[in-house]
Amino acid sequence: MQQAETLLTLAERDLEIARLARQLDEMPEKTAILELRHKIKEIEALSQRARRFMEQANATLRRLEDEGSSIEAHFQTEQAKATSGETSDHKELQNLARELDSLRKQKDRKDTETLKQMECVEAGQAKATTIEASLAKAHAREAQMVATFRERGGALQGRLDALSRERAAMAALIRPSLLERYEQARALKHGIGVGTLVGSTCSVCRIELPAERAQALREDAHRTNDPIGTCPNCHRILIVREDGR
Amino acid sequence: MKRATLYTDGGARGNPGPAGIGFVLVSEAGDELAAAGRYLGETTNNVAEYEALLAGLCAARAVGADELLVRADSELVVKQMRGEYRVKHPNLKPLFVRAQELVRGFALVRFEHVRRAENARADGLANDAMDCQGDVGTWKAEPDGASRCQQSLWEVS
Repeated sequence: MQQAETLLTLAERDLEIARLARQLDEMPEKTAILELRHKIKEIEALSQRARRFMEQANATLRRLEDEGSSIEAHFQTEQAKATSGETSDHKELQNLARELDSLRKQKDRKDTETLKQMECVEAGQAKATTIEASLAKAHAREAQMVATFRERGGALQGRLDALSRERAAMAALIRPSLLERYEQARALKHGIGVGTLVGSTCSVCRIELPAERAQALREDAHRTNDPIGTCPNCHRILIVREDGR
Repeated sequence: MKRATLYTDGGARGNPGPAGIGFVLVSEAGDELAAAGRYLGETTNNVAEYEALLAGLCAARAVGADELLVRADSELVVKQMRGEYRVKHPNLKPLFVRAQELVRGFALVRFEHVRRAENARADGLANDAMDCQGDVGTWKAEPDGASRCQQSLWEVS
């Protein structure tokens, strides 16, 4: 009988634990935190994209600057050649002038491209800074919300922890085979593993058993001095108390 | 003319599974006339939703409401009661018939589908009933209204 009563008390604790866990789970603060975390993930993805964009944009800028410098160097060399007086051939001088003109145009185009790329990098940097600021703001808000959740949910969590400890101590008092049977029933039967026979009704599934089945359960319990049976309807553990509670 | 709003919710943990109902009856002035939850044993979600409606309608009748706005988060129940869906399931038919009988006792009943968040109180009562495997709630009807209401509620089953 002692085992049966302990099991029923354990079942009560389990229901209370489930209720508190649900309350904790459904706290508006928790929902808000989960929503914010979802948003943070989106901002992080955006920030990663912005970083990738900036890497590419900076690489392009460096390439353009290198190409610009190379054209400039080439231009300087050719100009030096043209002004050194080493070349006197009219045709060669004409060719040099054309080459210098072409290099000047190339340099101008490169400078324009470089300027555009610089503007692109600046705009990207501004956007990346805004994204990073939003991310930092969201993280700060998250920390604040977690603190509020901990403060408000702290009492619930404390009670939940205490009940869990109480439950563990209680479970240790129940013989392992019965506890295993209870846990299996609980897992299979939506969190409720044990009921009592009230009159001829199972207190959990609320199905009224045929009078002879209820009587047989009572007689079995009396004969074996073991009040622990099984509900023929829902197959949960059914405790048959002598006073019919 | 006594107008009221009825919020109902029924739920089962598992389908079927341990089930409960909850309802809240609110007067036109916003006073809570009745609020209760009840454990049903093992049944389906839809049966629980209908049981919640029946219990709420009985409570509304007991407090003398004659114009009722029923707000439920079960689209099935709302649409079936409005005649937009047919009732095919044999387990739901008798409950639907009983609900229609009760509806005929009022001058006017309107059904409105609401989101779960707007039905939090009834949902909470249904969950509390499931948690304690028993009846929960308070009744704030006129002094002798409570017993009549309670009786009406229990006679539904």
